[in-house]
Amino acid sequence: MGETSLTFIVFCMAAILAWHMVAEAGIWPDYVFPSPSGVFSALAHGITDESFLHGTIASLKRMAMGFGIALVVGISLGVAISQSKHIEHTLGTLILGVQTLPSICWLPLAVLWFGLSDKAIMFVVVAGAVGSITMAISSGISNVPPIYINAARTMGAKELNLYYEVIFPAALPTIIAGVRQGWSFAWRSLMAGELIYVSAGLGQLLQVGRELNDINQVVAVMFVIMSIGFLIERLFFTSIEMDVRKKWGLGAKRA
Amino acid sequence: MKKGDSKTGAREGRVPKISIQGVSKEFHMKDGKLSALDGIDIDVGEGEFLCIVGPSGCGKSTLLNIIAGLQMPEKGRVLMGGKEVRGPGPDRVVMFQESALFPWLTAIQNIEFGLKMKGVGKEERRGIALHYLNLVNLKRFENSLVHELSGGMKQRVALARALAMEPEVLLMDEPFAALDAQSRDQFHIELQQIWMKTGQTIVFVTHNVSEAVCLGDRVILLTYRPGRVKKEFRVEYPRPRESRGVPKLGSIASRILSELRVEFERYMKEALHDGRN
Repeated sequence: MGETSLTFIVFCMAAILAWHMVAEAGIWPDYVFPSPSGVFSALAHGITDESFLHGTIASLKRMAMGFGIALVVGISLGVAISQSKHIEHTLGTLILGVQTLPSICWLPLAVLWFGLSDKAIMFVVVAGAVGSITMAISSGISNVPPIYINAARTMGAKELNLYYEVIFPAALPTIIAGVRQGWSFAWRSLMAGELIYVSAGLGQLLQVGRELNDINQVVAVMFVIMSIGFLIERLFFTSIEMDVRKKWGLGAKRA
Repeated sequence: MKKGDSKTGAREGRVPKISIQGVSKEFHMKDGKLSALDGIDIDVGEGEFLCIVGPSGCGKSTLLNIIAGLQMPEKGRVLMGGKEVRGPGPDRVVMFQESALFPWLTAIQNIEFGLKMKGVGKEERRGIALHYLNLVNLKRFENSLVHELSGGMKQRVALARALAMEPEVLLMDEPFAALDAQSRDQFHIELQQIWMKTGQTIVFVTHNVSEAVCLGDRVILLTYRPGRVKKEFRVEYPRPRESRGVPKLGSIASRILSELRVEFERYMKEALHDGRN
């Protein structure tokens, strides 16, 4: 682990150096191709005047709300679909079809319904995440080996207990993968949604940078968005996934 | 619970613990129906160790699942202590060929599972689980994860998990079939010792005749498809028995084997026939 992070740091430094050299060469003007120092000072500025902090908080709040709703809806739909073949062939197929729609395509509809508002953005976030979560829950549940369920039933587990103690834990590896995918779809949708509306979020900061013709801010905000996405993926989802894989003895495969 | 005199003796006089009455089961296949069980009548006495043998496809696992309440018969019924079986219940715990342990729980948590479902408190169920883990000689592996255990150890945990429920009836579906011969012999001795202590009623399904003769008070042979009761054999010999090198058991086993061979030939013929179509 230590060795790989060292390699990564060396790689980043080399990349920044190469970037610096290209910028210094003066092939493009600096309002088209920013220099590392320009971006870093924009980053420092955004951090010291707390605009990045407030943007991040605004975006994460929206994300938590939207993703929370998506979890509730996705889990309910997923459980419903796993209950019967009929629901799977009808509602399940519909959701599978709708899921192929890039979630930003919901935005025009959301704006028509809710106006240029927080609700519209939230709607797109939910629409982005619900499909993956639903499908993961339903396939996770229907792929639980029947022997686990039979064993649990002969030991007296039924109804809610059976779900809570056996079916959900048994489906967990599939569910985590789906929830993680739902998260990353939701994150993308949120950023896209925030671009179009005075939202105080990170997407909005990106848009402000464009309006001010400030390429340094644009790239600096892109870094912030990328870092937050990366941190949540790595620190949160990867560690849960690894934990489950280790417990199950599934090896350290990365999804 | 069980007295020494009834270890191998007949128990016809008592109300049977399990009464299988005219049980038939069909499976619906693409090309018609397949009759798995046909009119099975078996009474199992309280505290009896009954083995059911038959070739693959004779429906012996299906019969066990019907007793467990995991499957329902088309015709007939199963009575447990005089009451009809309508679904699974913790009075009839099944031990499967694969351990069916839950990989998200440790060994001890697996054993506690059924007790938790029964509503036994945390401290108490930990105590009971430890007792049974100790009984199957796995005390050191209390906190091991399932994938860290060998096949034999998994089955030990599965046995402890079943025993910890203190079920009236223990249903065993070829539980030792996937183990190596040495572990299996060891299990045979230990299972008999445990059974002599607890006096539970055991129905044990296997295709291994010497295993059946070693373990059972009585061995019932099923025919190949549809499964019917072909013959039953009493095994009266002091316990714990060894599965090898006992002439009396060997002679019973060879009688069963010659009957089983007839069924096996039918099985081969049908398999060939199916292959041609």
